[in-house]
Amino acid sequence: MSRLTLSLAILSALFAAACSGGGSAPLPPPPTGNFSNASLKGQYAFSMSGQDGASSNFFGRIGSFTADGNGNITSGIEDVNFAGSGSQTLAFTSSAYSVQADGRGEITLTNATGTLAFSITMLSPTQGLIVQTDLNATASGTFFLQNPNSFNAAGLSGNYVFDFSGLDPGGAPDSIVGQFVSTGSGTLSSGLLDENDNAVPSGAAPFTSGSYQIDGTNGPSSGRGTLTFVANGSTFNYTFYIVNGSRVRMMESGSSSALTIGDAAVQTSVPTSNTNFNGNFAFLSSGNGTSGPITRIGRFTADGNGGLGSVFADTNDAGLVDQVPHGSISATTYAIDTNFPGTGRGTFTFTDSKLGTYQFVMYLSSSSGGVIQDIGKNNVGDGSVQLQTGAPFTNVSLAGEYGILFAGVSSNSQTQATAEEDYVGHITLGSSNSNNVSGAVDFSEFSSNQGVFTDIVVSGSGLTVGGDGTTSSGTRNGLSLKLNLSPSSTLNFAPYLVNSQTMFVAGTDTNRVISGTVTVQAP
Amino acid sequence: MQPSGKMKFIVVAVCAAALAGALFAQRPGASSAAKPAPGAYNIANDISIQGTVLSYTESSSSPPIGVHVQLQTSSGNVEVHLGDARLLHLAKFTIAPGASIRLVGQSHTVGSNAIFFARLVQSGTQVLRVRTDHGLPLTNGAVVANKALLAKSQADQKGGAR
Repeated sequence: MSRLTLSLAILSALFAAACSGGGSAPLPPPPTGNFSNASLKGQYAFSMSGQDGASSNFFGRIGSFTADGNGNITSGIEDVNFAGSGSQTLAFTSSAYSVQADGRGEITLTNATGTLAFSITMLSPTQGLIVQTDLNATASGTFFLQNPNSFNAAGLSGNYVFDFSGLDPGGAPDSIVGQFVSTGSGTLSSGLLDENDNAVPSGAAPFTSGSYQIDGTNGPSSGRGTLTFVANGSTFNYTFYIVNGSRVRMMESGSSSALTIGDAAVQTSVPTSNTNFNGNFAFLSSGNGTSGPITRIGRFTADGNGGLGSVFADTNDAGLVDQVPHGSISATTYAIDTNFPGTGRGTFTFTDSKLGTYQFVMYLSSSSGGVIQDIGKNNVGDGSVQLQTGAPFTNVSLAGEYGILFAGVSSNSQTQATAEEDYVGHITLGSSNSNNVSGAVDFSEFSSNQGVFTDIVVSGSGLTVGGDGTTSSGTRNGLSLKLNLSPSSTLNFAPYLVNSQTMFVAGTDTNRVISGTVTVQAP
Repeated sequence: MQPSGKMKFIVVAVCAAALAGALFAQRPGASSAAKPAPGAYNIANDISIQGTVLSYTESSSSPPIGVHVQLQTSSGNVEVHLGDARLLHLAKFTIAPGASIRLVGQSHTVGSNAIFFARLVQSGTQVLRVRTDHGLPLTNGAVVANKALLAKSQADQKGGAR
């Protein structure tokens, strides 16, 4: 990837030029907490996607690295795929990492083409958040501790729900969600998917064949393998890395110029009728519509009888921010698909008289939630729906240490540029009702001249909890994070609480469309 | 479905003027009809408009995010949305005030404003496709899968090594 090296040189020059002026920003205080280099020990499977700096192309990378618990990356491998240019497999040589007490840190990964640099935030010793912050590209994702005992065909066994998103062979937005059943011996015995390719939903499409194999060379040491399935007349080829018996990280590969990326996660007992799907749910979807990037975040109550109540949502259509309900709400329904029992497939929909109809396909991994696909007219999006538990929520009950990861697109009025941005960091939420946030964040913002920002102090009004925190009464929550740059800027979000450990967030600023999660840390 | 032969790549190559003429031949003379189309983007509702660029901005203060062009046409001024600026940069497609351009697309209401969603744009002999035939801006960076979200939600509550 010599182009990345070239890109680095060019962007470094821009970075130096950009940094020669401007004011100063405060440095974060010394981090506190219980994380350390020892928190990152073992083999981790990572997955991330984003925008290449040189070409602006969408790209993805999945792979595995080994950390020794003492600041050294001892080995690793990755598959990287630039949309339209195909994928390649690269080995990592010895590299380094560091983890601070608050879970924030850095990882460098070196291969034959150069060194990649990432900012991370550990959520626990078994998982973390990651953003590429070396100006070669901006990308974000996650990493999970692997179980090497699962690096075999039997390591992919049972029922899985998957969610892949990216671009189709022609560069149009594409979302693929579904479910498959693996025999554990190289065959997918069944599968079902919904693909929303270029805003053309396929409907439920059964697999007509499916198989996988562990990479004979790298599989036993990294969990790498390849998987192929056929559905709706198309063949889908993926490279995967096994995390453990519950999760596989996957990225489209092979001769097709399509690039979709995501995870398959194990599926447990799923609702087979509307009766088994009930309770309060929060959802988040992001993708693209006719205006550009879009997000839908909200909540509903499923009544166990095909009806939805207390539907509230926040939308951002390329900077046009709105709330549901804006007009009157109708056609609030859901249905577990009885044509494909046991797959977890279902749909939910609601109509706002002012904003239109919102339609989603879902594949549940359990009665507590699963993945969703936005099939509203001219939309392509994907995300998650999760049972809301633990209410009532208060600032006191939510006080704690959190890892944050946001990704999306911003438009910069000074540079006149629009580009991807990715944030990773740590925040402390206090128990007071206002000015309750502190922390630090690293981010890549390719719409800016500087491109990469590190150790940016986070403050501001923080989390506002409305009502009991579930939004079921229509009283909304808010999250405002001030980034102490010079000049400062503020990220405003609509947060929907899943439980006391996790909140979905979607940006409500008009100059950016971003979404992500705020997740409690457990050192 | 994944149509392997469809839309070979984001950037539609620079086309000859004759080809451009063919591309823009659909619904000729429809420029006076740059009114919001009802409902979703339907390629059957595409029209062609032509005019002079009054202003060009890649970071408009009004939505949607993306390239906005103020176009002066024989029927009045039209606010045009060209989608993702990165695509224009990638194609080295330059639009400057005073230039004459032609567009194929359709008008939609964004908030309280009528915006012409361009699908094809022509400047001189250069033609660029900026939207798919279903109205989605062609882009390479706006595909923002819920990376953290997916990882968190897909049953990883029980995650980590066994």
